[in-house]
Amino acid sequence: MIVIEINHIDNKNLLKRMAAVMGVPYKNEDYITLISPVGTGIIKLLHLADDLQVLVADATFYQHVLAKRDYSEKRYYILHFDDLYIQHSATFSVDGEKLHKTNTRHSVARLTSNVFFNTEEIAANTPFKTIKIFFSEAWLKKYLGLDAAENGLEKYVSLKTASFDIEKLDADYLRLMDELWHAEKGDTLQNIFLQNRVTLLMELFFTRLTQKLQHLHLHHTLNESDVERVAEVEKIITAGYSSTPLTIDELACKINMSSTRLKTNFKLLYGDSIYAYYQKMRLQKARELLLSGRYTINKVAHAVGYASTSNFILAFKKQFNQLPGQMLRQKT
Amino acid sequence: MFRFHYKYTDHLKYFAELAGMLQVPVHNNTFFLPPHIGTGYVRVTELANGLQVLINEVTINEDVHFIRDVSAQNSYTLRFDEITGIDNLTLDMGGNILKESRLAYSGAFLTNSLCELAYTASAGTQDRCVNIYFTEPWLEKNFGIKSTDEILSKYLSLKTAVFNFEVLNLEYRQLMEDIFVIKSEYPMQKVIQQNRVMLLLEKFFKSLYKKIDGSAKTNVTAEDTLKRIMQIESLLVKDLSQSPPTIPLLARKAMMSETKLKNVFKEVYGYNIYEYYQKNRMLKARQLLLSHRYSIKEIGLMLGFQNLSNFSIAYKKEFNILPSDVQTGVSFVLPQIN
Repeated sequence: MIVIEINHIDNKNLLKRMAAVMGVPYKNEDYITLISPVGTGIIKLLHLADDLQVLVADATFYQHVLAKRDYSEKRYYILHFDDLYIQHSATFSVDGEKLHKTNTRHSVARLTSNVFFNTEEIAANTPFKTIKIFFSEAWLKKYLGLDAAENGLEKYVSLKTASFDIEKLDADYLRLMDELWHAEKGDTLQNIFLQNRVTLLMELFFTRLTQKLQHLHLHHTLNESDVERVAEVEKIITAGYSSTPLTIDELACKINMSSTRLKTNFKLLYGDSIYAYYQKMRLQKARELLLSGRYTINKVAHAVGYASTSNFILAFKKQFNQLPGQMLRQKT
Repeated sequence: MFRFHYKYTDHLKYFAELAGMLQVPVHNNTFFLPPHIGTGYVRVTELANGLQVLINEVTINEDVHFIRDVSAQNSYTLRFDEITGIDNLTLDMGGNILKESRLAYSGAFLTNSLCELAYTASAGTQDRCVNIYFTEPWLEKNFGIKSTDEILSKYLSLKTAVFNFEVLNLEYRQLMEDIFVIKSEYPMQKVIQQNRVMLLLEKFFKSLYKKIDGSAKTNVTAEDTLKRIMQIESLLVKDLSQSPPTIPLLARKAMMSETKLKNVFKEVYGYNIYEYYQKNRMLKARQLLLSHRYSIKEIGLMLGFQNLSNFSIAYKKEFNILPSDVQTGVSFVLPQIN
């Protein structure tokens, strides 16, 4: 098992410490490459202006991994964007409270603070993509104009593991996360490109979170079981795109909720209606498939459930403001 | 004529000097033009990351003449203007003169403190401007670009309008629009404003590097062609309540074949002619909606929609939100920069 300790005091040497713990070579302060028998993939540390530190990873460990973060006096935050394909299991804990997930795609944005002791335990062979942004309370105030107490963030953090399902990664998040990997290397403007994507991710998260906290606060419409059941629906509709999606009535039936409540709650949690969300997610998937360079546009259209390629192309253009072909040409 | 002669300085000082010269009071970093000069406001903001941004939306009632003297301050100003109602506009950038007599101009240009600048605008001109000030150390720290950078120096020493003036396409204008409409009471305004300003910078520099690097095929669009295309663009968006001019008509005005017009237009503005017209209409709709001065119905009519539900559908298609939802709460669409 690999144990990684994350704290805020020594971020500069974070990669160095990680490399030492994992026993992989440490060549420079920008990134480490995982090699067998540890795993495969890359972990990068972005040093941005404005005192933001960002850890970016796209990797799979071949061993069990435990990441720990201790509490401390000085208040710091980590904003996590995690996209994990959990094949076996993953356990997240906040202040002793545990959340155990098995065999699912865990794709969420969440904010944690070091007022609590946090751990993440991931079984071997779990492919994951993550972006972790480290910042202080003062940073939050200065750049976002947010006050942790006033704006409900303390309350959010105190939800502990219940806060995990509040903000799912939708197509907007995934696109920005993806763009972080596509910054042109050696480009003079690379830094600013990365910085802007990171701050856009933060804008998106905090805008939605503050809106949701208002809703949750004002209406008290959602309890924990509602959140879980609506998340179940999200899981069903994003599980695969090749077959016709279930109707809203069928979905509502599966989770024992009325269609009206399902629709309202879904929109509250995911910011989009069920169909709009489904549409965004499958086009996002299509984009991923296309960018992998392994499939033709025709194949991708079918893979995400379009019988007609030209309908797919139109929908793609509507979502990304670019034709699939244009995107591929731009990439090369 | 109103004449303002000043030495290059940062925006906070410039703002204070200009308010003093106009003898107008300043509240919340904002002043309004006195009636004999014009209508509208000028606002200055210092962002958390140290950028200074000067914003104005004004219509002038008198001819104005601004002259900026050089200084050894080692700073830059990047301004984005959307100017309409032009009778006569002259811009003299260290001897590089741009004269405009067509109805509208929208463009961006970067100058440093060593560049003389003068401009004259006739009464009736409307200007919506986002003007960004930053220092050499800022540029180096944030963009990793040194003042001795080859491409940047080359740009600043160039004296051809084609290179110096960046055409404002819709992406730029959407970013500007966000900056204009955001109110100080909106919860996330600080980060939204900063992000839009930073994206304007990113986009401008990206385009600048591409042009000067020579990797882009800029020579395709000769200066003369570019001017004619800009002329066409101003004709196209002049009156959004009417159906747009037909392509054959536009082609005649531009003295180009239809095919060439379509190709060059798309190359410069990134969209087909009608797509561009429609997007401009929606951008205008958003601006009017967020001004909270008109009903949805009025806005639909102002933009030539006979049928209100068509308007709502078109709006939703563009911004993924219904006009009626815009009225209840402000929503910013996450910009997509290609």
